[in-house]
Amino acid sequence: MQSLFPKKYLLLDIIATILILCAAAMVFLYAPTETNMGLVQKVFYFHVAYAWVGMLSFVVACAFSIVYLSKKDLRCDLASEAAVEIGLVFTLLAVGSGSIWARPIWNTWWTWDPRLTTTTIMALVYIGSMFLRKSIDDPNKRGRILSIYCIIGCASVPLTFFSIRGYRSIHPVVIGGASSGMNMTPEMLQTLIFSVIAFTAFYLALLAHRYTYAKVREDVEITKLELEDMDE
Amino acid sequence: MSEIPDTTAYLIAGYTLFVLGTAAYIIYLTVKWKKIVRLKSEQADLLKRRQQH
Repeated sequence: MQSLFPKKYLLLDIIATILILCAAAMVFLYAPTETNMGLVQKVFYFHVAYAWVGMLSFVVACAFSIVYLSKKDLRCDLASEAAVEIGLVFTLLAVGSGSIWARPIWNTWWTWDPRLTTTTIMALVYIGSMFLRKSIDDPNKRGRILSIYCIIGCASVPLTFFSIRGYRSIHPVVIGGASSGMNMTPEMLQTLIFSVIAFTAFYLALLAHRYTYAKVREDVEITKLELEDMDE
Repeated sequence: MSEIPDTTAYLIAGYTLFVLGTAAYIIYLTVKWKKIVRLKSEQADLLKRRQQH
């Protein structure tokens, strides 16, 4: 099993899996079908959860970057690397699912609405961060530059979150705002909240695995250098 | 009373994206993990052999 996944996170993996299955059951069996949009509205529960995890992950990356800059602890840079990668995956899936929802509702796959535009900018900022990480070999220099980049890049998160509140947007406002809650019934709201909790647990499990991978990779790099020194 | 629009195809597409996207990332992580664990074990063997010589 060691070659497949680290065992120490097994409990977290099981909890996250159960929560996601329960969230899926709530979406399909508990939450009612919305009368104006039909079944496609059910994409919304996971879409919001994915978007939430994406933004949360970038904030987490920023927090680890701040700690790295103050303590120079390489583990914080590795955690930041893990958070950025996961955040990007979730953001891209949220954008993709949003586009599928938009086709029957807005009659278009894509529009340059403030929310969609700022989300694209946020995703591009973090794609840039991943390219930058690959381009720097020195771990200390890489950690320092990437931490500053992540802290500045984190400004894209509140920009994305508040874009539908400060500007005229056709994107629905789930929390706060005139169309708050999208006229959700209590069952819909409970399903949404449960989905967000389930995917947050899943995020923590993924972060733990991705961080462990990064840590092992660093150990391998160090051993590789030691072996090269022994050869010389 | 207005009829509920049939948007089932989009629901299926949305959840297919969630499942396939998430599964692809988990598979990507698993492959990377297996590769690094194998490399680490090879390095440990190499170190052991060098220390014996």
